[in-house]
Amino acid sequence: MQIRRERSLWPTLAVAGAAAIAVGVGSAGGGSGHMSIKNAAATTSLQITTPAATKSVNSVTWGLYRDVDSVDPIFGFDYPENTVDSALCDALFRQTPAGGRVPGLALKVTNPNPTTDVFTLRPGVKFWDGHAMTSADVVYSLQRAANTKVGGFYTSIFDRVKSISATGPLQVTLKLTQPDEWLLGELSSLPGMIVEKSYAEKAGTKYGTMGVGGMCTGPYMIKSWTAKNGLIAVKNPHYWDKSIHPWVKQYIFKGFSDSAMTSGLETGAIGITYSTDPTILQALEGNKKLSVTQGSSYITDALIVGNDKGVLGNVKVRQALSMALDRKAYIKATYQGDAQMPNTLANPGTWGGYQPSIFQAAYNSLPSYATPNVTAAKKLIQQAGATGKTITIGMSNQITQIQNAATTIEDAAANIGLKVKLKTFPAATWIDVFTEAKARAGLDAFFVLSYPDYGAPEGQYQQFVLPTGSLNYSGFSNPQITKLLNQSRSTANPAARARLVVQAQKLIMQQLPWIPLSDPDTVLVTQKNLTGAPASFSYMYAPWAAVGLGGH
Amino acid sequence: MAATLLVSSFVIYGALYLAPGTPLAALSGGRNLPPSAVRVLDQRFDLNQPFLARYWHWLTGVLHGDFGYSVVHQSNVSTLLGQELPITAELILYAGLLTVVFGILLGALSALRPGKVDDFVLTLTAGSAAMPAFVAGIVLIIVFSVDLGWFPALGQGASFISRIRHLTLPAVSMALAGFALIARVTRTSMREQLQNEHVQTAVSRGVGYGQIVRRHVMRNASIPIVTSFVVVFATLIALDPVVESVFSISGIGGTLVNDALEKDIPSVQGVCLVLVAAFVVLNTVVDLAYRVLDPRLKGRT
Repeated sequence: MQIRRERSLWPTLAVAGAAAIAVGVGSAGGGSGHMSIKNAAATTSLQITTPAATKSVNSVTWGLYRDVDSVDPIFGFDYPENTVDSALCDALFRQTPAGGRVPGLALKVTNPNPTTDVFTLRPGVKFWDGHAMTSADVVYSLQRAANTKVGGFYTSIFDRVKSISATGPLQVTLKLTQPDEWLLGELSSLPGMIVEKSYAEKAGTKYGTMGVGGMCTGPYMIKSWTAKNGLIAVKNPHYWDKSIHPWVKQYIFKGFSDSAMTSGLETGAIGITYSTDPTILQALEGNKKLSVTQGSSYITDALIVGNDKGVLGNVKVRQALSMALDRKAYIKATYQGDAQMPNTLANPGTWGGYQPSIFQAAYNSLPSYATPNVTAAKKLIQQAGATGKTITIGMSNQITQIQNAATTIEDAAANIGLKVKLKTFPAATWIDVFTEAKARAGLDAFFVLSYPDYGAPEGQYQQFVLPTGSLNYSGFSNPQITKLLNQSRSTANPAARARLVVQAQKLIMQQLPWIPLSDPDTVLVTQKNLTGAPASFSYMYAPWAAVGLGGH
Repeated sequence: MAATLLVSSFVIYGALYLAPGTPLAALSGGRNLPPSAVRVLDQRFDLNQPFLARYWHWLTGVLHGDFGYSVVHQSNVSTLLGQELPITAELILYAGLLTVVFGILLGALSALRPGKVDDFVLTLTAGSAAMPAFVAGIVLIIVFSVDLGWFPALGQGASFISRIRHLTLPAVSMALAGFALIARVTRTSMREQLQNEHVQTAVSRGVGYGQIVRRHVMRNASIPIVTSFVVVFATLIALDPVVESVFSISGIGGTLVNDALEKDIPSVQGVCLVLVAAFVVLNTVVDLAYRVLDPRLKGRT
């Protein structure tokens, strides 16, 4: 759901390979059937899985772009914390490698009436310390995630929840103001991860920090955690899911600078990483000791329109600019040629496990951005009376992906009669654009890489099209879109829900509150002697990568 | 010494607040946080108090060994320093040793064997002084780690032998510039001494070559060498963050770089203070060493 923190020289999240898309779904969980996304430029497939592992491995160093700062799920949102939390903790539901949803710590949800959710919890689950998980722990974890005084990042997902209570030793009941399907998706992500009540209460505000650690139920548990050696996690011998057999005995999760990541991968010091820097892939792609796999992702790469009162406040101008962008060149330069054409602002990876046929048809029916249409764009600009006007764009020239994006925008603008003024921020303060209104002052637009908490396009859209969305910087508010999305939120039937989202999506792609640049892929890099981790975004929310990786 | 440290501490503390950005940005990571979350974070990390109050709070804490709480690592800065300082100390010591040993050896060789050997050393030192530490580091990694596989590319190793293996390439990268300086100074200083009257007298009196070099030449030549070493040590401290970053070593230097980028102000302040203190203490130690080496200085301050 959030943008990642940008590090200087760390562009983006997707990567190399050949252009576009067929999603082969061979998920390890309960994913949906096989699906193929047709696209004008489609030539190769995006994998989800890699060949299964067959041998155990003693220790693997997992490379992150920086060290983990907390294992408290309610303060996690960025790559390092998500990667580690997904291996250490279980959520009420689990995301499959394709992005679908299956039972996790909750076996099922029943609705005695539309505004009551009754969760039946899985019996026999133990925390790492051997204590049994009960409804008290679940109630505690959810209330903690919802509590604004605790200051977690996910309080807003509970805005339809009236009460959370334990109605049995393994039963939790939520009373809602309206039905809420989105909540179930969120509970398959970090806010739904369950921690032990007694441990967390004792730790207080220090829960999840280096000195104190955490207490979860996941397939790996913390053995030691120091700034010097990183976070070392070992297999949990009492893990409840007997269908899972992790091959790797110990993971060392550590942060590395980009050059150290490259040399670490080349020398075998680092066993696995989900690369967030396309530039190192150029060096690694030819390397015989490494396997590089591109897979589906949830990430959206876009230009946020932050000021609806400026030149970009006119929808014709937004449409024109979007139409004129040379995305092929941008994708080639930035992602070494591989990311999806963003017919939809939500990445196709978000529907791999959720009504793929409905969303696929919608994706195919939307205008493809493969070829820029400068003539039509110029006409729109003239109609809008915007010829010769200037747009101010916030960017960071220390972040390659953003630099490329800015160049792409400038070229397109020049072709259609718009002027562009760039306001640059150093990489270290780039984040201020998102957190401080002062930093955004004077900007018409700025760049973003964002992803939803779970596999659903609406999870991405609600962040920036709903008036109350956490990434809605312009105050964008379209009553029809809002109505459709809110309706979808209350719709239990997945197909009906997907159809509502598709209608909203059509309007969103007409209105373009964000101008899409690309839908990047996930890139998995491992030593050649390791295999088994899925090449999808699921590593951010579920343990499939940690438990699947092994030797062969 | 105390006055220097006090002024340094104020400069270190104040300088960081002049830089734009706050730890809040790093903690929130770009989400528009709900106001409740911002309030909690502000309170927990004292982000709203006046500057002098915070400085005083920090300074009194430091004097008790409490360097504050690292916002990014979510742990006490003193814990972080405790874990990482030994590694940095080992690396700087290793680099310092290489600098001194090879610097003096080659400088002495150069002074005592004019001609081809001297020319070779001069060229070598010119080249090594010209190469920036991070470039040297990357080249060493490419050649010795990736291609030859003789040394590991990153980390600091656990056991003693492993630690030495891991720290060798970083120490060499750091030592390059300093070793050149020491070699040149040694060469110049020894040459100067070799021409002194008392040395010529010793030679004419038939004193052995080895004894001449040790007692008459080296002892007097050592003062400029020791002075240069102070400069070199300061360079080593300054290069440490760069080299630790390149080799991904978990010392206080690597932490400094990472945490400065993430606006982890308490951690950066703690590390800077430690590095400055190390330098100030070294200077004092060297001052004392002078008096041992040159008895003529004993009488003065």
